Amino acid sequence: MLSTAALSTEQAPPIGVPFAYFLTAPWFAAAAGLALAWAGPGLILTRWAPTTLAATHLLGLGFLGLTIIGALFQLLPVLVGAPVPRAVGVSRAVCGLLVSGIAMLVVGFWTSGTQIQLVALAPLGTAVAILVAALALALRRASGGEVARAIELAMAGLLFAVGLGATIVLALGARFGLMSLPTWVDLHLSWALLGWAGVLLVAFGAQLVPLFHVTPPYPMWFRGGAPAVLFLALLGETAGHLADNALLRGAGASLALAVLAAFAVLTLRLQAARRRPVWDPTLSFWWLGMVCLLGAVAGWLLAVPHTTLGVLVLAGVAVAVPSGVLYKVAPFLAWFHLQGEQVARGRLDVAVPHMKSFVSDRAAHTHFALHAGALILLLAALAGWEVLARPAGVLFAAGAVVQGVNLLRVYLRFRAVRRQFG
Amino acid sequence: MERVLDVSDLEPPEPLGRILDALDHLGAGDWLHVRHRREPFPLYGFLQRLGYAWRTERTGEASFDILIWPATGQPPAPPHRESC
Repeated sequence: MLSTAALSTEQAPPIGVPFAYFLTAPWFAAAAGLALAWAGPGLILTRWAPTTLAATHLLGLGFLGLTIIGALFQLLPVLVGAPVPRAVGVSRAVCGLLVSGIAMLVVGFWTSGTQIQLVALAPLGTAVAILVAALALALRRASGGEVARAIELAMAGLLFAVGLGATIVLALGARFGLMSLPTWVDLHLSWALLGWAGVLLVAFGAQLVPLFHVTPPYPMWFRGGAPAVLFLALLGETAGHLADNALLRGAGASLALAVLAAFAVLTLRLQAARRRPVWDPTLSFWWLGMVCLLGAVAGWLLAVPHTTLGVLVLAGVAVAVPSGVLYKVAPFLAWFHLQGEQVARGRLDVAVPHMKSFVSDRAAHTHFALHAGALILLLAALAGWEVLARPAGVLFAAGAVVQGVNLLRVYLRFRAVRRQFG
Repeated sequence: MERVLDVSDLEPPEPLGRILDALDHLGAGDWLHVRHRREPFPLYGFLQRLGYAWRTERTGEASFDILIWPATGQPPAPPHRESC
């Protein structure tokens, strides 16, 4: 591949674009923790309780969704050289619509208010439509490669997940019948967690782990094939559900689990072989996430309850891994944009702080300790010590608050240094 | 004259910082040959602002050669590689 000077001057969006998402996401996780502390064990002992639906969407849409979307605005230019067009306007519109839509949806679930759930579909659907259109335009200008293809698949996964979720809300709100509601919910979960977040986890992980931890690359067969195989496995599982074919359903699910298990094992092996044997908070989060992913795969094979799988996947993987990545990405962005200011203004007299000085390892590890502690208490509560559910919620919320403060400090330090440029 | 800088084993943001430092010390008529393990898209905006031209070539699964020279000068010849 040969590339020359055909790229735009401003590859990266303004720092406010990803940070609007990164600074908002932790507070949804904190709200999920407080919901558990308030509602107690009933929230984690069944997947059907209104409080459970509220908490899972606070995490899945509020924390994970916002973090992923903020990262997409930033990583598209870095990984595939394709900035999102009109990134500032698009990002503001998507962020505002998502935050209001998620808040309405969660209130609707918590209060069993079907009307407000129906109303929430409008901002959420509009946000997803704008996002998918903007990303599709950006990807048309991408230099191709496995990451661009994986993002396209994840976009399709997101559309499936949102379509299924909206159908469920419409059916419950308008009281029209859906054959086998649990199947619709299972498919919605599969596409949201695996077809959207899972495909991006595998694709971005294969880029970000070697980038930030200086490890050998993931094998080409995995980088090139894993997102597509995961997506096809979900298509197979969905077809199995629709055709009521247990064999096809099982084969699809098994293939998806094999991809995720391979990703976890490869990640742990590559990180163990990193060229700089330094331990940092990002690695702690990654290892926790990958152990939980392997635990969830084993749990699925052993037919453990859905609630345990949900805790492992949502709190263990979907919160832990993005949290770890944020401790690399957020300080990097602050440093990168300040370096850009320095070059643009020719102000070599203003020192750009070292990337590692934006957030201390100690502050990040405090977040990790609280999060890991919450996870242990959650699993203990599921194993029978129900009294631990509320303390788990308190710890979970505390971890998310520490994360929110840590990220806010990165942004405030960035602004303080930028002011020195005049 | 070619100046070679290998940033393949460095963690972000060191590659970008080292490349900008090296460009600061580039003599007249010199060009920089960077060895990197990935295509450094974020670098290109800096190069454009600073008045440099560049050419990037993928040389392996995780290896890239980036030649950087003042935009007002002549592009250098592609880097020499030993044949097998």
